[in-house]
Amino acid sequence: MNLRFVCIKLLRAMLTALIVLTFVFVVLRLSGDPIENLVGDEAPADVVEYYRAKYGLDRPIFEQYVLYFQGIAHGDMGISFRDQRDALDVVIERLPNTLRLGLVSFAFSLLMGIPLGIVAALNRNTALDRFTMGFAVFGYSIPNFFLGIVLILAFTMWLRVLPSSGSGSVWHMIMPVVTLGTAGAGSLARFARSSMLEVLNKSYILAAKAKGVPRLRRIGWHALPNAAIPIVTIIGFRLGDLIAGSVVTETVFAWPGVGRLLVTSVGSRDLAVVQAILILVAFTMVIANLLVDFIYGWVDPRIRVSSALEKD
Amino acid sequence: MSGAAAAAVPLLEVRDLVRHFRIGARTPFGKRATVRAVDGVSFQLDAGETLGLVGESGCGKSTTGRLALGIDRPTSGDVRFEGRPLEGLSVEAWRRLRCDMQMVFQDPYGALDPRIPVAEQIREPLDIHGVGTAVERKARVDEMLEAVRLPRPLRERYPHELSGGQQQRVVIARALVLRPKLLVCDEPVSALDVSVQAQVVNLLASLQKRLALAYLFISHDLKIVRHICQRVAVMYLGEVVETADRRDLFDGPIHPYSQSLISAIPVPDPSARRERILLKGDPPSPIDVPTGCRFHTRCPFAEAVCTERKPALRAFGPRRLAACHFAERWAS
Repeated sequence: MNLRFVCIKLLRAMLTALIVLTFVFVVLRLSGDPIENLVGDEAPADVVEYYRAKYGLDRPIFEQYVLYFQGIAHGDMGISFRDQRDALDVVIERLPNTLRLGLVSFAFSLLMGIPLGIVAALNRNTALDRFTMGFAVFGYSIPNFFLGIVLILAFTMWLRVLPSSGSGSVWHMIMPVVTLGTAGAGSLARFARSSMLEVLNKSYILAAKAKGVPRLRRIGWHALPNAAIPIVTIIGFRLGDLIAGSVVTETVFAWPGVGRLLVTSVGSRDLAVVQAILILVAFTMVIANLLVDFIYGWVDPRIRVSSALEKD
Repeated sequence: MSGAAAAAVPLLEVRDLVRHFRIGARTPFGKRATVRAVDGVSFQLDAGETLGLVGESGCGKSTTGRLALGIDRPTSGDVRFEGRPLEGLSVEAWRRLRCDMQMVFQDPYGALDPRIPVAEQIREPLDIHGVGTAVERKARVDEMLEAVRLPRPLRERYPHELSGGQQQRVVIARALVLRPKLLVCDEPVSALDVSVQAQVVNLLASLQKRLALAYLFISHDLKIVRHICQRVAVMYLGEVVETADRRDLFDGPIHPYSQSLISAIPVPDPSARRERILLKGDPPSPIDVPTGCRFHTRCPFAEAVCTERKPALRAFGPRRLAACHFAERWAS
């Protein structure tokens, strides 16, 4: 991987971030007046004016835009309207909960999805393949909120074995993790299967067989690393979903994370907090995409070398 | 096997080889269709000889090649290598046999692992079979690269950095590094540019002389077959319809299908007048093969008997077989 490759990717990531941040800025200012919500309809005009000035909402829009970027650059994303604390602090406080849930579900979907996809590919068109893929389609098409509610019904209401809300213990994590990880596992399984099948049909796999390469090595050394190239992309994109993906699940299980904070903050029009969350999500997405590009260059020599050739 | 007995046993003998594929999903309604890719193929190949296997696409040439190598298993029939059947070999024996028979593929890029530098891919068979020390293996890879005339600086490159011709040289080097006795070449040049085709064919010919290789040369390009093969088997819809020495086949094909193939070879003389036998339509589907002689639906000479009775392969001379009811008309 050379410097030029890295620079191009970095520039592209920064440009994406700029566009997304602008979008956040515009959309949030189009979506209604936060001050009205804060002080109520009946508030006297001078109170409204006071708050407008306090949050900088009385300045010209372009100035607000510049201040907005200055703030982001300094890690200052405004003050939460609701509890008068630094908006970023409010969000970061919730972040560990979301990351804990997100990473565990992510691991769950990887550990379930990829092996299932590979097993299905290796047993193509057998009952095992059909069963696995049926399960994958089911897992990936069932909506989060529905699966969450069904799980609560089954394990909390009927069996009375798992708590339905909160984050106190490992037991609290099981249902949210399954809810959040199932869709990922389903789509990864389907993806791993098709990518593996494509590689297994290549002549070099047949050539390896003709050479007498044992089956395990054919799969592990020739097929898997090649099949991994497109899978890595999907995994990377999922990583970007780590924070944004859990909104519904956190709400269903009353999980005290960023997702639920987003829902409550939107409800109370806490502009600064919503903005901070959106910016955080945008950054994780952009960084995940950047990581995908780098990992891609690392696992696939075709990409690495072709960008090296561009240089001369 | 030793001495005189060994001389009588062909290197590769294929007898009544059948390979059917079932296609489509199993449903409660009716049976799955069966593709008769290879349907009773027999031939022999001696050490150091080249047998061309020709026919239209979809006639079962490639499947026959894979069956001969033992990397696909026949529905019935058997393949013998130096007199020993491939079926029923122990895993160990099968793996040892890999050193004796190798394959060259149609699409050289698809035949190389895109993630691994080429020298390493050529070395892999040696690693697998535990041939020699690390130094010896490296020497052998170098020797192979030289034999296929691949410039040294290219050895650490990845497959996509090579041209098609260079990739095919790598595939050939990888196939030959174990010093096999038999090389199955499945359309080895049809994916290459014409100018490169000649280089690769000449390379194969010179390697054969040097290393006493036997080739099973699968191709639909009769010009190349004529150039490189001593004997030719013509396949149609999963069956061999004629086998003959090259000269006999090209000078006087017996089977009407062979006649039409040979009349289709372009002649580099615009004033030459010749009769072309044009076949009507496409070959029938191997799922639903015609009764009697499989060629009767397209044969310009077909008569009633052809639709009813299947012609057997009959001998016309010591090394010549043809399957046509009216073969005597053309055999002279």
